[in-house]
Amino acid sequence: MRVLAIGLQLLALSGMAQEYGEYEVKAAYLYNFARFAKWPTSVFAEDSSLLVLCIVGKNPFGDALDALAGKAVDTHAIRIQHMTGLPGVAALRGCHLLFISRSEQGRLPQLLATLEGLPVLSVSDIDSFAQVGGMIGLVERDRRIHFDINLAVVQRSGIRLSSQLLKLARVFDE
Amino acid sequence: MSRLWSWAPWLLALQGMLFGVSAVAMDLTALSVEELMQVEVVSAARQSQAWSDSAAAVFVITADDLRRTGVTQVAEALRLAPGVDVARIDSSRWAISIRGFNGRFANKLLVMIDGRSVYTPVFSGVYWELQDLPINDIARIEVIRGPGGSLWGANAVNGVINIITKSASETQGALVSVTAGNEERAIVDARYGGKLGESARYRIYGRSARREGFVDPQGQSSSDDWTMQRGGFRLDWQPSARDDVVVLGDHYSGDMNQNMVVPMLEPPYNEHRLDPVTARGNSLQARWVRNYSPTGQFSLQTYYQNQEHSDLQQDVSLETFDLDFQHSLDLGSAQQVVWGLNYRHYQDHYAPVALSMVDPTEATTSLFSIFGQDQIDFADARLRLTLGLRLERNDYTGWEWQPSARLLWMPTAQQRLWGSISRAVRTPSRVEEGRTTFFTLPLLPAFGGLPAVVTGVGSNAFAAEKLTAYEIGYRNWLNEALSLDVTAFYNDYDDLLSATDGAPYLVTEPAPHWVLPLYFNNGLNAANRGFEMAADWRPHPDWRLQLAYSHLWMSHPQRAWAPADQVSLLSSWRINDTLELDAWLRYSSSLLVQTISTLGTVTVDPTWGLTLRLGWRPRPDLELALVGANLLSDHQLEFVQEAYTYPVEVERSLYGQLKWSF
Repeated sequence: MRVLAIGLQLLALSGMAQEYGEYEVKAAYLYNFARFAKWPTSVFAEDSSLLVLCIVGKNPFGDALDALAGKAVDTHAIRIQHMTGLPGVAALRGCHLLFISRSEQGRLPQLLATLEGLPVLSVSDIDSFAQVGGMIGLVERDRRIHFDINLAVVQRSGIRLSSQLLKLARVFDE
Repeated sequence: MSRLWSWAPWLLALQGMLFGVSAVAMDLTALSVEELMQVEVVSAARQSQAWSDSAAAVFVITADDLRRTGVTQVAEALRLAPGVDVARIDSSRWAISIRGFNGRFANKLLVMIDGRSVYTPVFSGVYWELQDLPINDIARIEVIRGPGGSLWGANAVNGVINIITKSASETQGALVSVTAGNEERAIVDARYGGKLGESARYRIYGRSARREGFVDPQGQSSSDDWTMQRGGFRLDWQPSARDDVVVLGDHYSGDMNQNMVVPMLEPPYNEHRLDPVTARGNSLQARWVRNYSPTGQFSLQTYYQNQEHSDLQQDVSLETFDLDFQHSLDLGSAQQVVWGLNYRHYQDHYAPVALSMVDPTEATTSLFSIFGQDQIDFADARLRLTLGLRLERNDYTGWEWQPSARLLWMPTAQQRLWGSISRAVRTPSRVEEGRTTFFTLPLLPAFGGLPAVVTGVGSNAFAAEKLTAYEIGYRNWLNEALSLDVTAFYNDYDDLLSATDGAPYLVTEPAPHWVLPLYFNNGLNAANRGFEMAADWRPHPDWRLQLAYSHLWMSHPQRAWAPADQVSLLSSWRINDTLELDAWLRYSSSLLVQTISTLGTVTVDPTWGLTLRLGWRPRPDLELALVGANLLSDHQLEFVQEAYTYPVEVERSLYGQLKWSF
């Protein structure tokens, strides 16, 4: 209710009772994306292999990622790895899920080119991320976080996303 | 999670959505993707303040509260909020107000659904029975006590209730819900939500409700059963990243049996009648919001609605057209400005009926208003001053001004102290203005053995009713499991509606009787003061207690028609992953209603209410519940309508609910 929301902002009431930090919600999304993605079998050496979540660039999550550490997806415990600089193919192969921070906006074309075809689920809240060749873009609308999926890029990587996830996303096909 | 302190108590409201989440560490990863999509966030880009930072008395009823109380009508849920007087007159009629001056025709409370006013100028009030929205589609209800005139315009005197429905993206897929019981005979809701292309979502819904009548004080059936049919749609479209478009529409049709005691000129001079009331209406609304910059926003909204309401008292049709523009922008980092324009057009038609005659039968009236508000942060953003003013022109009383000044102090992260002074007006309705007459009850054989009839006569000199309100409030999040919100107020009313007796005169047609004219005027001043308290405590991650208490001192209790004390205590307990047991206890002290009837002033005894709900969710897509409402008595009186009074008592109600999504 934007009109109301404007009105409410006057009284400074516009937020609702339940409000979370932006990145707490985004961290929870990352966890859900991992749950609804199926990587090619070659990606995990064994059932006990770690599921690695890489963060490229400046970490915007604060300690919100702590909620993910110690969790598991199926049999794979989640490990969080922060990357600095522009990671190469070898380093990126070690990631299953990759979050690209807004700080990397300038290097995005190079990063996406490196990622092309790799079985790494890329997620970012950089504007139009899914439209420009990323896999899942987090977008804010009406104070809620929604997500866009670029299905063609996901399919080329060999990762399969559950239809439950696709149903809720705004889907782009390249 | 450094900001957790500020969210934690309010996160508790999400309890029903959180599966196995502790109160200390709010674990969002336990939410499903659908649920995550509903969570509101605070982002750096667009500053939005939690209502907890508002310098006003606000209470939010969440979708989860609606579910846990098992309510089937919006009106019932309002009993959760402190300071709100909710009383059921009969099966379909409600008396709802805030801080006193209650009644079937409570006229100082503005009610909006998704930004569309449902306050009707037909009699200055809200037909609550017609706002029977599907409970599952409501995102939240914001109850704002105290004047909201500077923001929302006239008639937001004692408060504003904003009912906000879920966006189409929150209601994707199909949902069927069925409620059946001894009083709630059959309520069926069906909803489907889908996509239109990549940027638009929609939902369509239908609701059919059939409810049983209650009983009179002797326990005999009062036959006030009723049915409501409703259907509608909502479209949410994002044509671009900076534009949001919402289109809403609905249609309703209701048939209500309402008891009336109507005057007769022969013995026994009044007669009990069961009035078959019909009501129909449609609305269509569109809103466009453009975020032209990270801190600037325009919005343009328009709606059209029509309604027909026919009963013994009135047979009215009304059309409303509304156009609203708002612009908000930041001036520097410490000032936020909002201004806007509103135009509203009403066209009515009153057909003469036995009990009233409105002259002229047709009228076209319009409202125009302009408002502005400036919010200024200072002292390291620990103090926030909000100044607002609305100027509104109506056809009855001309220009009315409604200013407000609010100051919020944030001494520590956990505490808020605020105070405000504001003024609001209630503008006259057609019934009070002009040469209106209504025919009310005959007083029993008065002079010379002849009956006497009371006739209300409106006046062109009738002025707006005015309120100057002084409020102060304090909130404290004592720890992550306990929060407190206390508000005190002093309401100074001027020029309230009153009536002066005229000289009785003899009329010979159709049978000889006296007429006692009552001339409406602005002869009453009143002052109410009181305090309200809301506490939210989570003693255990699976157990939540919400307490609301309010007290009201009324300068004219025989006119304010409200209880002095009210309590609501909701206990929500999650027994395990699939079972919930909820208990809701309410108390309301006695109240007086001064009726224009042979009953005179009616005293309503204190009432106790208990609702128990057992919910079972065997699968994520299926929810079953057993609910017992008004469990403590077979039947009890909560209120009486102020005219044509026929007391009806609210009965015990038992029902089952089934909700299936697919």
